Amino acid sequence: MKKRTIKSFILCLLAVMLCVTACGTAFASAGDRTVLRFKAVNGTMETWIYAACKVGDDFCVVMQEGGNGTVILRYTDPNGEPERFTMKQEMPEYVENGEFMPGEELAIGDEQAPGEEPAAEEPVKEEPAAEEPAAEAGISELSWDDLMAWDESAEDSQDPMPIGADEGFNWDDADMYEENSTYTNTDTWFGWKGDIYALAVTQNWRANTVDSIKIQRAKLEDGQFTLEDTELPELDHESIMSEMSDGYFSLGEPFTAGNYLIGTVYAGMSNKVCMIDLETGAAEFLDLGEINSITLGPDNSLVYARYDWQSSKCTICRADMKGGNEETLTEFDLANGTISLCYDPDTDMLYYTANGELNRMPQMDPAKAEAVNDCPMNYGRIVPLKDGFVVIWDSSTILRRNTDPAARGGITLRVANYTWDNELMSETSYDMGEKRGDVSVVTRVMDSYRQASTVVQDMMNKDGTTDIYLLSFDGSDFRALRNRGYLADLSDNAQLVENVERMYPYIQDALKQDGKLVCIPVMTTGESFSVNYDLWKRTGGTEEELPKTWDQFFDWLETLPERFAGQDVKICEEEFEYFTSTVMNTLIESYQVWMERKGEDFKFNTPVLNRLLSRLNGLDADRIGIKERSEDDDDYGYVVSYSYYQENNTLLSAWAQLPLNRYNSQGGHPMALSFAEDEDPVLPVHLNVACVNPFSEHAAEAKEFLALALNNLALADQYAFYSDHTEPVHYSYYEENRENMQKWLDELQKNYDEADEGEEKINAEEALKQQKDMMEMEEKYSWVMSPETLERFQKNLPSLKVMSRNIYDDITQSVEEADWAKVAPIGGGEGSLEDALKFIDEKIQMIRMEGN
Amino acid sequence: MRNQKSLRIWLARFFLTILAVIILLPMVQTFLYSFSSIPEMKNLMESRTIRNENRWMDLHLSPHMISLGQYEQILVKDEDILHYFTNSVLYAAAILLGQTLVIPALAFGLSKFKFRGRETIFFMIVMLMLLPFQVTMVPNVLTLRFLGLLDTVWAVILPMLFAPFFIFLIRQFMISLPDELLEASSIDGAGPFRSFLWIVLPVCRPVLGAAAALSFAESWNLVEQPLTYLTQAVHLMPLSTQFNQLTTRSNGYEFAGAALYILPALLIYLFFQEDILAGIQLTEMK
Amino acid sequence: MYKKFRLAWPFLLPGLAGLLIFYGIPFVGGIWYSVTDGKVANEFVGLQNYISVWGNKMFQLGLGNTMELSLICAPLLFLLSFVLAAGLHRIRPAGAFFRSSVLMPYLMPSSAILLIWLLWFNYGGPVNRLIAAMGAARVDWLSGAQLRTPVVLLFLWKNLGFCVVIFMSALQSIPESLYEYATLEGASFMKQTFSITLPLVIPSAFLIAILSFVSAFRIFKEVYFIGGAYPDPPLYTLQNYMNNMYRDLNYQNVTTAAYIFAVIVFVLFGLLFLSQRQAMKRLNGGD
Repeated sequence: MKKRTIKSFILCLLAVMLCVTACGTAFASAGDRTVLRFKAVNGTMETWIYAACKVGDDFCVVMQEGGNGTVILRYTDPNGEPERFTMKQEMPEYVENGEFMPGEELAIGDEQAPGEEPAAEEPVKEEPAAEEPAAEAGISELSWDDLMAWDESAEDSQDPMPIGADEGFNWDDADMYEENSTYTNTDTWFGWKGDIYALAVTQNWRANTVDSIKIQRAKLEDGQFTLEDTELPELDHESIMSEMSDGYFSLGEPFTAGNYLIGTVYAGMSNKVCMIDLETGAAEFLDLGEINSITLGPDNSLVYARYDWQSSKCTICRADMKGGNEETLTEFDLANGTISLCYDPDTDMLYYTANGELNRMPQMDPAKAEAVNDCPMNYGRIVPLKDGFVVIWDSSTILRRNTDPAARGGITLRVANYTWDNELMSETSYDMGEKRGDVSVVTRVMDSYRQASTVVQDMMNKDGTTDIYLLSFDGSDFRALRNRGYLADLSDNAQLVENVERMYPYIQDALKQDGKLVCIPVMTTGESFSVNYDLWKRTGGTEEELPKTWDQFFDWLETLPERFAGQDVKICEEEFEYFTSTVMNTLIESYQVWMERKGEDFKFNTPVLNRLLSRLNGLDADRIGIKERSEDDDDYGYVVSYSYYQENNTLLSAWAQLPLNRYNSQGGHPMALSFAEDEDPVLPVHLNVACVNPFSEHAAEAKEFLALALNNLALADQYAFYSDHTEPVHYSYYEENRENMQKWLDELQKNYDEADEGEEKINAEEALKQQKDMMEMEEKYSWVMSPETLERFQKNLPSLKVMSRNIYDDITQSVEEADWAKVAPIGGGEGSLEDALKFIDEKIQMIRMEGN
Repeated sequence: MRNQKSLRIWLARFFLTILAVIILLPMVQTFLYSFSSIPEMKNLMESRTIRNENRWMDLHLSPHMISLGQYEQILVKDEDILHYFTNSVLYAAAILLGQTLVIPALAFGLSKFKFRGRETIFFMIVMLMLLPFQVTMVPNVLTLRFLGLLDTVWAVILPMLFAPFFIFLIRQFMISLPDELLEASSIDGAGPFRSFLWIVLPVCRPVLGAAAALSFAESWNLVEQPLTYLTQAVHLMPLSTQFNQLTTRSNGYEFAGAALYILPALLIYLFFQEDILAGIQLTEMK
Repeated sequence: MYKKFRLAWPFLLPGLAGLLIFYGIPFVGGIWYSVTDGKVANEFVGLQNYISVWGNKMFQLGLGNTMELSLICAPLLFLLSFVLAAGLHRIRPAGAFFRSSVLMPYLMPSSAILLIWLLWFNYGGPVNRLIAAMGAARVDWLSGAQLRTPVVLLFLWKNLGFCVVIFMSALQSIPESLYEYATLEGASFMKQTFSITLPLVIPSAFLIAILSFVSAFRIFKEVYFIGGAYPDPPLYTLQNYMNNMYRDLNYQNVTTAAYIFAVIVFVLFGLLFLSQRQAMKRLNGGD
C-alpha cells in the first residue's frame, strides 16, 4: 500500500507540474501563453482534450482526465485560474459516459492516471462499480471464464469502444449481455447560448447501430457537473444514420453558428458536412467532396479548405450554404495537408492554422492575408476570444495566441521538416516557449519529394530564413550539405555536445564531420523482420541453433515447419509476399552497409548477393509454412492483432523497427546476420537528423532548441541513442494494475478458501489459476522497454551502422520506368538475376561516378 | 537513248517517291493511329515491353476500327492535354511576336550600318549560336532568378526572343541585299527607319517567312528550357515536355495528343513552304 | 550602307541588350562559378574544378559520346545531303510532292514523332520484322549501343531535308553555261566537279557543315526523351552530365563542363573556318 501511495504521489506531482506550472510560467512577450498542456507519460497519454469552446463570455475546456473522467474547466479570464468541474458520479450505473465499466477494473492504459485529486479514493469508488453491474444485470451466476474474457477484450482494444475486439472472447457465447450491449458516448462537445452541450450518442456495439442521439446540457455547480436532458428535441437518429455508411456517428470539428451545429461526418468514402438545427433537431447533409476543414463565413457562406495531395496545394474556398457558387479565395503550398479554419464574425476575420503558423485574412480578402503568430501543433483548432486573442487547441494542448502581427516580437525560429514526423518539433516548441518566452518556433512540414533541392539552393543563396532543417541522413540533400560544408558547427553548445557524448559510437560517428558536431539525431526509421527469441527459447531452441549468416538463415527457414509440427506455433502472421519483401529490403540494405564497411566500391553483381537473392526468391511459401496472399484478400497483410493477455506464439514477423523494436508486445526482435561465417553481422539503421543553417541569424537559439529536442526524443530513440539508457521501463499504469490484480487475486483466494467442496471449489480454483496466469502475463507484457528488448539491442549493438546513402533513391533516380522490367528479377520476377544486377550496377555506377 | 533517259527519270521518280513516303510515314502513321480506339492503343503500347522471340507487335499501318475516342478523351474529357497545348500555343505565339520586334531590327543594324566592332558582335553571335543550351544554362537560371522570372512564363519566352540562329539567318540575307536599294530610298528622303520598314522588310519576306516557320518549329519543340526554368511550375509546361517515352504505362490516347501537336506544325509548314524554301536557299556563309 | 553609327542604335539596342542579359552576361558570369568551390565559404580555387571535371569518368564518357555522336551524325548528314542534292540536281524533280515532303521533318516536333519512332524500333516492331524477313536475327534497338541507331536515324530524318535544300540551291546557282563550256574544253566529270562545282559550293558546304555539327551537339533532347537522365552508357551525352549536375545543384561542375565544351566547340569551328579559307584560297589560286 505504501508503495502505491508514493507512486500516486509522484504521478500527482507530475500532473500538477505539467498542468499548473505550465499555466503559471509560460508568458511570451505578446501575451502568448500555453494554457494547458498534457504530455504522454512513458508512452501513454493519460489526459486529452475533447473540446475548447466559447461559452458566453467565458471560455471552457472539456477534457478526459485520467481516472477523474470528464472534467470541465471554465476560464473567466484566460490568464487566470480556471474553475474546475468534475463529472458527478452517479453510481451505480452499468453503462455510463462512454466508459466501459467492466474494463475499468483493470485500468485501461489511457484512462488510468490520477489527476490533481488524490487518487487514493479511486479504487473505493470503482470496485463496487465493477461488481454491481454484474449483479444488476443478473449475471451473478456468470462463470469466471467469461468475466476474465471480458476483461481481456476490454484491455485488448485500447479504444473505449470494444467493437472489433477479436481474440479471446467469443461474442456468441455472451447472450446474457444482450440487453447491455449499448453504451453512450459523449465525445462531441460544443458551446451554445452560454452553456456547454454534448451529443450523447447511444450506440449498440453488437448490432452496430445507433439507438439515439440526444443533446444534453452540462449543468455546472459546486465543482461538479451533470449532463442533463434538455427541452431541445432529440435528433432524428434514423435519418442521420441513413447517411452514415457504418453504424457509428461522430461529428468532426464541431462548431456552432446561430442555431446550427456544424461539423463533418465520415460517410462512406468521403466527408460530408452535417448541419444540425438545434432548435428543430433536423439534420442536413452537404456533400462538398473532400474538404479538410469548414467554417461559417460572412453572409451565410461556407468557407472550407480543399487539399490536393498530388500537388501539395491547399485552397481555401467559399460557397453558399448549399455548396453552390464555389470560388477560390487563396491557394498555397501545404505539405502535410493539415489546416483548420475559423471565421470570427465579430471582427470579420478568417483565421486559419497551416504550415506551423496562425494566419488571418481580414474581410475575406486574400490580398490582406498574413501570418500573425506561431502554431506549433499540426492541427490547431481555433476559438477566437474577445480581446484580440485566439485560443488554438488540439487534443493535448491549449494555447492562447495574439493575433496582432505587430505584437509578434522577439525571435522566430523557423524549422523546415523534411521528415514525416512532426511530433518532436511540436513538443519541443512548447518547451522552448516555456524556457525562452521571447522565442517562438514555426515548424513547417515540407514535401520531401517535391521541394527537396530547395535546401541546397537556400544555402547557396546564403538564405538564413530557415534556421533548422530536419533531413534524412541518407538523402541526397543532407549529403550535399555535408559535402559542401553547409552544416553549422554545433560544438559551441555545451549541452548538445554533452548529450552527444553520451551516445553510442555508431551514432556519434554519423554526427561528426572533421571532429565537429554538425547535426543531432532526431529519429531512427529503419525496419526489418523480427524473430521471437522468447518463443524460440520457450520451445526448446537455443541461441546456438539460430542462424548467424544469411545462408544459414535461409537454411533455417526451411527447417521451421518440421520443427514446429504439431505445436501451437505460427511461423509468421503476415503474408509470404510481405514477409519476403521485408527480408529482401533488410538483405539489400545490410549488404550495402557490409560493402561500405569493407571499403570496396559498391557493386550489386557479386556472387554473394546473387546467391542470397536467388535463395530468397527461391523460397517456397509452403515449405517454410507461411501463407501466400490469396486473390480475395483485400488487406495488404497487416493482419497483426495480438491479444494482450495471450502468449505470443508467432515466430517471425515482418514488422520490426531498427535498431530496437518498439512493438515489444510482439516479443520479436531484429536479427543481425552476417555475409560470411568468419565475419561480424551487420544491421542497417536509418537516421533522421536536425542541422542548423550556417547563415541563420539565430544560431544560438537554434542550438538551444535542438538541445531541448534531445529531451523529447521518443522513448525508443532515447534507448537507441544514449549509452546510459539501459534500465527497462514499465507502462505508467503498471504499478496500479498490479495492485488491483493482487487485490482481485486475494479476493479469489478468499473465495476459494471459503468455497464448498465440489463444483464450486473447482470453479474457484480455475478462476484463481486464471488470475495467476493473467498476472504473469501482465508482468511480461507491461513493458514499454523490456529487459529482453534491451538485451537484444545490446547484442546487436556492434552490428549497427547508420546508412549514409539511400540505395533506393539512387535506383529510382537512375532507372526509368520503362526499364523496370529489367530490374524485376531482383524481386523474383522473370528474367536473369545476374543481368538485372549488372544493369543496376551500371546505372548506380553512373550516379556514383558523377560524384554527387 | 531517249528510252534510256525516260527510264532513268522514271527510276528516279520511283526512288524519290519511296524516299518521300519514308519521310512522311511517321507523321502519317501518327495521324492514322490517332483514330484507333483507346483500348486498342493501350494494348499496343503495353506490348512494347514484351521480348519474346516468337511474338511480333500487333502493328498495322492503319487502325482496326476508326474511332474518335482518343480525340474525345483529349479534347472533351481530359483537360490536361488541352491545357498544355494552350501553353504551347502561348509560348510559340509570344516568342514569335517578340522575335519579330527584335530580331529583324538587330539584323538590319548589323548588316546595313558600318561601325567598328560590327564584325566582332556578329562573330560572337555566331559563336553563341554554336553552343548548346546547357552552356549558358546555369548562369541563365541565376540571372532569371535574380530578375524574379524563374518559374514564370517569361523564363521560357525572354531568352528565346534573342535566339542567335535567327539573327544569323536574317543578317545573312540582309547583307546580300544590294546597297543601291537603300541609296535609292535615301535619295527619296527616307531615313533608315522608313527604309527598313518599307523597303528592306518587304524584300526580306522569304527569309522572314523562313525564320518565322523555323522559330515556330523550335518553340513548338521546347524541352530543355521548360524543364530547367519551370521546375516548380509544372502547370506552365508546354505539351512538348509531356510526351514521356520512359513509361510503360499507357493512357491509350498518346497518339491523338501527338497528332494534335504535329498538326499546327504541319499547317505552318504548308503555309510557309515556299518562303522556307526560298529563305534557306538564299542563306550562305559569308 | 549607313555610315552614321548613332542611327544604328535604335535598331541594335533592344536586341543587343537582350543578348547581353540572356547570353552575354550569363556566359561571362558563369566563369566565376567555374573557379570557385561552391562550399560554404565559396573560395577561389583556380583551375581545380577544371582538373577534377576533366578527370571525372562520367564527364569523359559524356564528352566522348557527344563527340562520337557528332562525328557520326554530322559527316553522315553532310555526305548524304550532298549526294542526294547532286543526284536531285541531275534529275531535277518536277514533282511538288517530293519537294513538299523533303523539308517537312525539319519543322516537326521530335517529342511527338518519337512516339511512333520508338514503336518502329521496338523489339517486336517493323524494323526488326524487316531484319527477320531478310534472315538475320532480331536486334534489341532500344538498349545499349544499338540505341544509337534510332537516334542517328531520327537525326538524319529530321535534318536531311534542310541540308539538301541548301545544297541544291547552291548547285542551282551555278550557271549551266560553265559546265557546257567545260564539256567543250573536254574536262571530265571529275574535273568538272573539282574545278567548278566544289569551289562554288564551298560557302554553302561550310554552312551545312557548321549547321550539322550544331544540330548534332543538340541531339540531347531526343536522347533525354528516350533514355532519361541515366541512359545506357553509349548514349550518355555531355548534356546528361550537365543536366544531372544541375539537378544536384552542382553549379561549379555544370559551368566548368560547359566551358570545356565551349572551348572544344570553338576550336573545332575555328579549324573548320580555317580549312574553308584554305580551300578557297587554294582553289582560287589554282585558277
